[in-house]
Parts: sequence; C-alpha cells; structure tokens
Amino acid sequence: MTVSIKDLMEQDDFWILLFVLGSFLLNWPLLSLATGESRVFGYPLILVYILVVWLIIILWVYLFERWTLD
Amino acid sequence: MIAPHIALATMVLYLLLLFGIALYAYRQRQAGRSIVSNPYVYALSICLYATAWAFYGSVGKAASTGLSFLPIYLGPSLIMLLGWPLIRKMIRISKEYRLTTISDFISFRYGRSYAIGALVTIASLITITPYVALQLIAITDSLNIISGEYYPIGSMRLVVTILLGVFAIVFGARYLDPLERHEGLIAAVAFGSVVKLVAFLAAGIYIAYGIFGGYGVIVDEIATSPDYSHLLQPDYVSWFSLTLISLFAILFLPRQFHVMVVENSDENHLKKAMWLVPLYMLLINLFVPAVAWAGLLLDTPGSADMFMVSIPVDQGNDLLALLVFIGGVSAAAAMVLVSAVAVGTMMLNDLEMSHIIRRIGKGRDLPSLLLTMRWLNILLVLALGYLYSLLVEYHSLVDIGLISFLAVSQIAPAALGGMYWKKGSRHGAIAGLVSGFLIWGYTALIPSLVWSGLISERLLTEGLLGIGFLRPTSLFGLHLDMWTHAAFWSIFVNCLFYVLFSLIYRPSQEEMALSESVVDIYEARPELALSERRMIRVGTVDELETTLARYIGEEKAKREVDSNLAELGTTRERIDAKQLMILREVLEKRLTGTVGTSATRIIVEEEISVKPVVEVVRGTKAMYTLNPSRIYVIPEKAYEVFTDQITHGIEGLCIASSDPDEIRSRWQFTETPIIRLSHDRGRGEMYIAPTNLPLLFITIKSFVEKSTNSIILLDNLDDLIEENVSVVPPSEVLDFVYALESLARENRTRFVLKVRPEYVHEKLPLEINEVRQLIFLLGPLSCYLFKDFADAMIASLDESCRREAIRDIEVLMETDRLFEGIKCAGRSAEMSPEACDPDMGKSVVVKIEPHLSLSRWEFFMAIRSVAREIKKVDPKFDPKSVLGPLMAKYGLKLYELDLIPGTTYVIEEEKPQKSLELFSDLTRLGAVGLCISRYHPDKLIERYNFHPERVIWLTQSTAYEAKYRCVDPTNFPRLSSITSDFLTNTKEPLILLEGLGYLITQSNYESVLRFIQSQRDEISMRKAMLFIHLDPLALDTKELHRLKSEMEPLEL
Repeated sequence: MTVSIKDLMEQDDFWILLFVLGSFLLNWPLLSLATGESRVFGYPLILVYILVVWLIIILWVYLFERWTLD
Repeated sequence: MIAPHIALATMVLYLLLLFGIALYAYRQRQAGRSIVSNPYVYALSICLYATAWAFYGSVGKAASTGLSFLPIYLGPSLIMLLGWPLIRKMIRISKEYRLTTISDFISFRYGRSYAIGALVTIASLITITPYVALQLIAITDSLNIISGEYYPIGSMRLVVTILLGVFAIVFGARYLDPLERHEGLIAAVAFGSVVKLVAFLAAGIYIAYGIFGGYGVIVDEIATSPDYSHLLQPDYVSWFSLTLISLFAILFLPRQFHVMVVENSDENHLKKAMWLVPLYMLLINLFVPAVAWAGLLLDTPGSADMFMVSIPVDQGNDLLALLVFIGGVSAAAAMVLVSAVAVGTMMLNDLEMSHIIRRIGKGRDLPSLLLTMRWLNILLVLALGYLYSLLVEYHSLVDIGLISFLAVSQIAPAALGGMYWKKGSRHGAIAGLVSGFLIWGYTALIPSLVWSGLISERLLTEGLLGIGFLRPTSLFGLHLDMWTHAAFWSIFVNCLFYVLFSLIYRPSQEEMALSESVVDIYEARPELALSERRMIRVGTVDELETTLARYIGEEKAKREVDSNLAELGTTRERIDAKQLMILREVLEKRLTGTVGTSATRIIVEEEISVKPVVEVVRGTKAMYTLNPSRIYVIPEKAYEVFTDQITHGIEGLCIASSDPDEIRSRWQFTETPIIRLSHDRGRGEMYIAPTNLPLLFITIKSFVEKSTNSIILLDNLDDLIEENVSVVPPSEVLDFVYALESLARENRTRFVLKVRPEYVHEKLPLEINEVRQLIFLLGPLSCYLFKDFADAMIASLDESCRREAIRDIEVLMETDRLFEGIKCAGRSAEMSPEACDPDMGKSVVVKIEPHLSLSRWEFFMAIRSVAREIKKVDPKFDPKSVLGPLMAKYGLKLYELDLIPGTTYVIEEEKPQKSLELFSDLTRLGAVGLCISRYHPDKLIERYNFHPERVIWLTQSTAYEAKYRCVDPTNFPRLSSITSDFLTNTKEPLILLEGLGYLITQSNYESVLRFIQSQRDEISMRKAMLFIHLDPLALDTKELHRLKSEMEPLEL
C-alpha cells in the first residue's frame, strides 16, 4: 500500500532520509562532480550546483509547510 | 569617509532604535497583543546565527580560501531538514520540563546533574568569550574604517560594550523568571536580521552591478586569473568538517538554543522556519563571493574581512558604507545581547545557584539577590569579551568563530545521545564532555594562542614534552587542515568516551526515569506509580508555595499556586492526593525554570532528603538480629535495638516527636539523622509536621532508596495515626500505612515501630515481634478500610438502590450481625446527624471506636455480608468487579472474597503449583499457615519462602534432618495430632495438604478419606481453612467424587 506525499512528509524517517541525501549531495564525492571548467549560463558549475541543491531544499520544506497547513 | 561623530551618532541612534522596538514589543505584549509570536519573527530570530562573522568574516574567508566559507551556512540549512523530528523534540522537552538553557537541557537529562550543568556552563563561557570579542572587534574596526581611526579602539569598544550591557539587562533580564519570553529582545533581534540582510544585499548588488558589470564578470575574472582560480576549488575535507560543526553550532550554541527553543511560542512556527532560515542563509551569502573577489580584483586596501565596508568607502559611496556599518552593528549586537543573557542565566542556574541556596538563601530576599546576580553575570560575559578583544590578536575573524563552533560541538554527543539513547548515562556524558573539551583545547585553542603570541611556538612544532606524535595540529601523525584535525579528534574521542562510559556505568534509577521521559517525550505519560499516589493534602500546598516563594517572591508564588489549583479544578482545602502530586510536579518544573535543574534538585533534596550515614562501629558483636525487608513492633526496647543496629554498620533514620538532642544524649548516637515530628519549626533540626504524611513518606522513601542497608525507627506511629484520622479522610492514613509497609517489603530496610501494646491487635510475646499487615494490626485501621470498601460498593449502585442498601446494612450493624463477635455502635440513618448532610445517601454511617478492629478474615466476612445485602437490592451487583481496584491498591487478593473460614477447599490441578502459590501468598500477607507436603522442605523454602517450622514433610525416610518436622504417611494419628495442636494454638489458621496421592498409595483410600472427614470437622469448628491439592487424574471417578463431596471447589 503506497502513501501520499503528504503522509510521507509527516514521517520523521523521511526527513532523516532527506537530511542524509542533502548531506551527500552537498559534500564530497558528489560535490567534486560539479567542479572543473564547466559553465551553466556563464557561471561555474559548482556555484550553480550548490545554488540549485540549496533551492531545492528550501522549496521542499516550503511545500511541507504548505501541505501540512492545508 | 564619514565624519567620526556622524558615524558614532548613527550607531547610537540605531541602538536606540532597537531599544525603541524592544520597548514597543514589550508594551504590546503587556497589552496582550504580541507582535513577536508569529513564525516570521521566529524564523528571523533564528537568523541571529549570521553574526558579524557572516557579515565580515565570511568575506575574508572567501577572499582567502574561496568557497570554503559556504559549509558554515550549509550546515544550518541541512539541519533545518531535521527541524520537525529533531528541533521540535528539543522544544517539546524544554517546554515540558521548563528547561531554559542548554546546560539545563543536558544536565536534566542526566539526572539533573550539577557536574554536567557546571561543565557545560564553564565551557560555554570559555567559548563565547572569543565570539563576543569578535563582534566587538568587528563593530569598532568597521567604525574606524568609515570614520578613519578617529577614536581610540579600546575606548570605543568599551562604550559599545556598556551600551549592549544595558540593553541586555533591560530587555533580557528584567525579571528573575526566565520563562517569561523576552519579546522585546526577540523583536530587536528579528528587526536586526532584516537590517543586516538588506544592508548585505544592497552592498552586494552595488559591488556586483554598480562597480562591475555583473556577478558573472567577477566570477569570470576570478576563474581566469592564475592567482585566484583556486578559489573555485573547495577543499573537500575541511568542507565536510565545517558542515558538521556548523550543524552542531546552530543547535547547541547558547544563543541559538535560546531563540530556537526557549523563545519558541508555538511548535508549528518551526515549519515556517524550516524553509525561511535556509532561504535567509542563501540570500545573506549570495553576494559573499562577489564582494570578496571584487575586493581582491580592486586591490582594496586593508583586511579582506572588512571588504564589505572598505570597498564602498574606497569607492566614495559613504552612504552605502554607513548602511553596511549599521548592518554589521546589527549583526554583532544581536549576537552579543542574546549570548550575554543566555550565558548569564546559565552561570546563575548552574554555577552560582547551589551555593546561594546552601549558604545565603534562607531568610534573605532571594528574588532580588538572584536578579542582581543575573545582571552581574551578563556584565561579566561582556566584560570578558571586551578584555579578550584587547588582549588577544586574531588570526582572522573566521578562525575565532571556528574555535567557538568547535567547542560547542563537544556538547553534541551528550545532547543528541541523551535525546535518543536511553542508555546514555551521566558518567558517559561527563567523560565525553571532559575528554572532548580537553582535546579541543589542545588541538584548537592552543594553536590560536600560539598565533597570538601568548604561548611558545615550540609546542606546535615539537609537540607536548617534545614528543612529535603529540603535536597539537597533527596528533599521532594525522595531517589535516587544523579545523578538520581538531574536529576529528575531539568529536571522535568525545563520542567514544560517551558510549564507553555509558555502557560501563549504568544510569541510576532517577536517570533511567528521566531518560525515558526525555527519549519518549511524545508518548503518553503513565499514571503515577501506585506507591507515590498515596499522599494526603493537609499542609502541603502551603509548604510548596512557601518553597516556591523563596525563589520567585510571595506574590508570584501565590499566583502560580492559585492558577494551578484552578487548572486542576480544586482548592487548597479540597485537593486530593493525585492532584497534589500533579501540583508538586508543576511547581517543581516552575522552580526548574527559575533556578535551573541542578539547583532545583538541591532545593528539593534539601527540603526532603535525608542522607544515610553510619555511626562509629562498636567493637562488640550486635546484640540483636533484625532481617531486612521486615517490620518489627518493639514496645519497650525500640531505641535500644535501634542503637544496637546503627552502631554495627546499619544506616539509620529516627523519626520521633521527642527532642532530638535528648534522644542523642540518651542513646549516644551522633551521626544518625533524627526527624522530629512537630508543628513548630525548630532551629537547626529536621522537622516534619505530623499531619504532613506525604512529606514524611517521601523523606523515608528517599532515605531508603539511597541506602543499601538501613533501619528506620518510627516512634509513636499510633499517635501519628490518631492525630491524622481526626484531620484527613481515613483512607489517606490507610494509604500512608500501606505505602510504608510496601516500602519495607520491597527494600533492604528494617522498620522498627514503637507503639503502645494495646494499639496492636496481636499478642506481642517477644521483645522483638516481626509483624505483617499493619492495616489489620494497628488500631481501628481495619474498620476504616471496611468503610472504604463499603462506600465503594454503595457508590457503584444507582440512586434508587443505594438508599435501600444503606438502610439494610445499617440494620445489620445495629443488630451486631455485620461484625461477628464484635460490638459495633452503629447508628440508624434516622438518628444520625449525617441524615441532614446533603451527601447523605452516598455512604455508610459507621461509628468507629478507637478500640475496634477487624482481623483479615473478619474484614472479608463483613464485606461479604455487605455484598449479600446489596445483591438483594441489586441482583446484578458484582463485588469483585467493584472492589478489584481497591483490593489491588491494598495488596488484597480477589480470591480472598471467596474464602470462608471453617471451609475445606479442594484445588484441582495436576501439579500443586497454584496451591503452593496460594498458600505462599496468604502467609506472606500475614496469615499463619501449616503446609503438609510431599515436597522436601528445602525446595518449598527456596521456591516459596516458607518458614521451616511451618512445613511438615510427608516421608517414610528415616534419614531425615532433625531441623524439619517429618511424619510417616501412614501415621494418621500423628498427623491429626499435629494439625489439632496447630489449630488450637493459632488465630485464623490455614492448612495446605499437598500429597494426597502419596498418602493414598502409602496407606489406602479409605483411611485417607476418614482423615479428611475428621479434619473437615475440626476445620469447621475452629473456623480455620484447609486447602487440599488434588490431581484428578490420580483417582478413579468414584473415589474422586467421594472426596470432592467433602470439600468446596476453589477456582484460582
């Protein structure tokens, strides 16, 4: 039986998973994938990568707040 | 450049603006219109995390090491993902137990440990000092940059320190009670967060788009510059360690704990903060690389830490420079204010309070004294920061901050372990904290002191005592950047010692109880333990209020008690035992919020705790032998026996109404505590009012639990009972007596009761008489118990049946048919004054004379009679379901309702397990029994704790030991003689016969049947009870039927 995203977000374990995932995404070795000469919209990949992951974290928690308030 | 006076005036005006905002918020709160209790303000207050370090230090770090400044802000953003499971739990625990500082939070979990509270406080003071210094340095240095070094730095810093100190006192320590949320302070902090963000973004946009052609232009130039391209390559090892320690910092820095946990007014505000805080961190760091790298590209003079203000000054944009300066002041001021308040409170609660309570407290105006101490602490924190800023040169702003972060990370294992691991013990926490801080000091603090020139560089280059392996920056040859190196060793050793010592030294009972309540904070709390519910109310509410008043003032204490009584729906006069326990818990938490957990523990312990001590041991052998877990009635020689025991290694407690000095001089003991039962407060002695049974019980319990081998002498328990039954409901006296008995039975203690012989309803043939079932032994307690039971049965009826049942019962009493053989002066309902009582018709009117008593069997006979009368009125009435809880409360067994004296019972089971357990239960509860069994006495004594003299072994063996009584299974005359003697000489005797099959096989069925029939007659005449175990499979149907016809079946 699957649960809705809202129910998923209400589980502590889910947030622990997200925390671990975020920690992995924002640390070595995954972070090293974004270094180098590559550019995105003229900006170094690493800056864009960190910014995007950071924004995703913010957005995800924002959605949690909206959905649980609803 | 701005005129120095304008810069200074702007700063002062800004601080006054903060004052005004704080005052406005405070007044709004007083008017019931809080502007602070909303999630946006809450989230902005958490952004206090971004201090002058973020404003200036991050820019400096970005200029030197590139993106490596980012983890300091990624850590907090990541931890917000755990906001709901983790931070919410911290908030819930703190609110539940009124924990107002991080040191209280941790010390509470580990048994309200004073040592841990003190350790965390001292560590916080040490770590916060450089951090405060950093803020003061940032303010004064930025002021000098925009106004051109006009003012002496030392004087300027002093002015700033004083201004901030006054602000902190006015808005952070106005009242003693830290539970009052400081809305003024939080409003100022939240406003400051907005100001610094606006200033930072304005400066960033100006520098990136005003001076350069865009953010991308700066990044391009840096990426293509051979000198600076490395700034885009983070060092992953230090990246990880900085993420980790910043993650811990936002949770456990005193200021962060204060705003995030203590000042939280609604857990749901956390949901908003969980995304607003990371968004804020993102925005305030968005232009850090741009500003830092722009400074490098523009070759801006001065320290890179100050690029934020020096670039606008260098470019001639004074207004922006002023705005940035104010942003920096905002960032620094908020941190200093909240840190000073938080650490000042910690110092008071965890360092000073215990000394104040022990030495100064009694009789002084404590609330004023404590408030003054708090103010002084706040000023001390600021003063230390100021002195540090003058004495120590810094490597960089960031390095000062990282030293603090690393130090605060040492709290993490104990704090997080305490929240999730029940086995985490006080010893583990202390070992972890001490080892972690020592390693931190060696690997992080010492190198910074070497750089400042305060310590010789030799320690860094050659190691401790010249041992290369012990170099502070490369312990055991591990080469990492300094922060990673220090973080690794300190946190690793901390965690290792925490876990190891927790596994070696198990938590105490108190710690286990606290750990469960903390770890399982979301689970429903269980009912109070049965033994702790037996309290009464008289005098105790006033005493609780008096204790509380000593620390928060009389008016506040009275308001607190009255509001809590209103919440409980009761009054001082009507409060019952359970409500009193709840009130006590609430007020204890209140005290915790005021004076901290370890100090509360001291107050509570000093109020009610008596520590076991041992007298000087006499060389002679003890004259008397008292066994632990027993109660003795010693009418004449109680003190002599007590003195004999305490002078031979047993810890004693004496409770008496006589003068303690007289007792000591007469009986020659000096160390043993004596508690005087008196309504008058004495000087220098421990006293308890005789009507304060809850306090007396807690005191005895606390003593017993602290001791491993003790004796308690309770002089004049009879007077104590008589004084109380005239004042409180007798059921509460019953609770006290039963609780004492349970306490004696369950612990390794000996109770010695000195009572008048006529108060005891049993012969006391010896000097020292071991007794049981005090309720049936002392005075009219058994009659009060009967009344309770009768009232419970009556209360279960509906209105129409109740009056009729009461009338029938009272008729029984008047005609002496209720208490068999005992005269009871019952009054008729018409004649009794209670007839006019509005509560009339709800309970039985029983006049209890002091000499009345019921034995256990008489009690149950009376209960059965009442139940019979009630059943006539209400056939559906089931006494067992009504009386079950009450019986369990007083250790009575449900089957006792069915046991009728003069009856022979048969218990059918293959093995005699239930039969032996029944017999063991009844004798343990005070009945005198004789067990005739096929089992060897050793087995019965070991398994069921039978007394050797009460066992008759059925055996034909001649090689038996002389210490046991043995009977040949064919010798029925001998067997009859033994049982007859026993029945004649014992009051309310009971006999268990196990081994019927053996008797039959050794003799014959008919002889056994005749024996049973003769015993049955004798049992019936003596009003005794005989239990016979029978294995139904051992006999054929006819034999079984004939035997069973002589007996009543008993289902267990």
